[in-house]
Amino acid sequence: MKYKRCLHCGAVNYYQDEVCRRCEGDIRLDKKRAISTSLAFLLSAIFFYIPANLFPILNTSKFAQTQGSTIIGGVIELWKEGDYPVAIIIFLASVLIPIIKFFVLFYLLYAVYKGSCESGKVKLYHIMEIMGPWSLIDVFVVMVLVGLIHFNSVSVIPGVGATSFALMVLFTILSAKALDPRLIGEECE
Amino acid sequence: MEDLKNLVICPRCGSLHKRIKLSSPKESARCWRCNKLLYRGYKGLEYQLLSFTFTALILFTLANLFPIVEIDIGGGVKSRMVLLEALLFLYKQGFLFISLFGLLVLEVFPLITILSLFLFSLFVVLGTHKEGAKKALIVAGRLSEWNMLDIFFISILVAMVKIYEYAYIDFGVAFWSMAFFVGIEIYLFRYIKLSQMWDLWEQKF
Repeated sequence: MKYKRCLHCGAVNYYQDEVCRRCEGDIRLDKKRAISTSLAFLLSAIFFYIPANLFPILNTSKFAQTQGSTIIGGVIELWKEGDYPVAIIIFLASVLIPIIKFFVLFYLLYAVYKGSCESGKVKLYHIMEIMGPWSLIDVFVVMVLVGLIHFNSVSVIPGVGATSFALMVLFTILSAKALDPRLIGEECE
Repeated sequence: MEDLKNLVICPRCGSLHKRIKLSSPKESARCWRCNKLLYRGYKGLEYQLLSFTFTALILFTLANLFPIVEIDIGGGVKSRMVLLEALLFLYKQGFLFISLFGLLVLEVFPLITILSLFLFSLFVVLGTHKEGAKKALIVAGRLSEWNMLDIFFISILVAMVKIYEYAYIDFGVAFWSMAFFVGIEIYLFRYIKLSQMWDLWEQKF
């Protein structure tokens, strides 16, 4: 193995180089550092998953009566009202996908640790990378609703869960970014 | 020793290729093993970038000056949302982290990304400021990863689905400006791609 690709700009560099010749980005292939950084972010993400689901992400106040709604609570309510498809979509997007992402990240971390080479894992990594920020939809929807609905009679205020949810997604993105796709399969010939 | 500029590594499977010169914009180079696109043969890419980023800057201004949506819940009770106002409101409610995060990924980063890409293409067209163009491209590359206006745009639609039963919804000028801004962003970073812009920089200077 004589060459490696810079992840920032795509330039080809010599394998032993530490700084990209073109964009001056960091191109070190450090397995140990990648694993420990990624694992630290992943554990933080899992930690924030708990308050994100326990606390309401949205507070609705109607005539001075405040009512909080958690993600699970919202799903159950939708289910009871008979909105099965919407309930299932929200359950999948907000509850299940974060958990799946945790498992996939653990799996990829293990793959990097073992140094196993399979192109399927690189594909999995790229799917993770693209999917990552889309979980923020929940947080942004809360932002839009809060920005729009503040009437005298009804108003929407974000809950503690929204902050935790945003932090959880942020840490999952950072965890995925800390993993180097070149360590999973690109460098395996 | 092979000149590094004449080599390409496939981003998907890591195969090493020798770069060949493409003569027409219709041609593209693909990986021999996994068929992943490596680069395209653009002509006058810098002019395309310049016009797109300039348009994007105008659209960004419009998207922030005007309300994105206006809702009417009946009885003359109306409400409208301007992005910066919404972020300020969140901040006043005590949600420092979310408002700051939103300010960065929805306002600051998208603006700086497009602005530096605009400067980059301007420098390339003028043929001056080799180092300045490089710095601009580095900034654009690093910040484009933290650009989340596209996700926010879909979120607006999701939020509207939640309230359309209770209110009359009117999409404002800013909504459409944002839609086209996001479209340009996707075209620049997902279709043209940064590596192609770096190749352009290497060819011109």
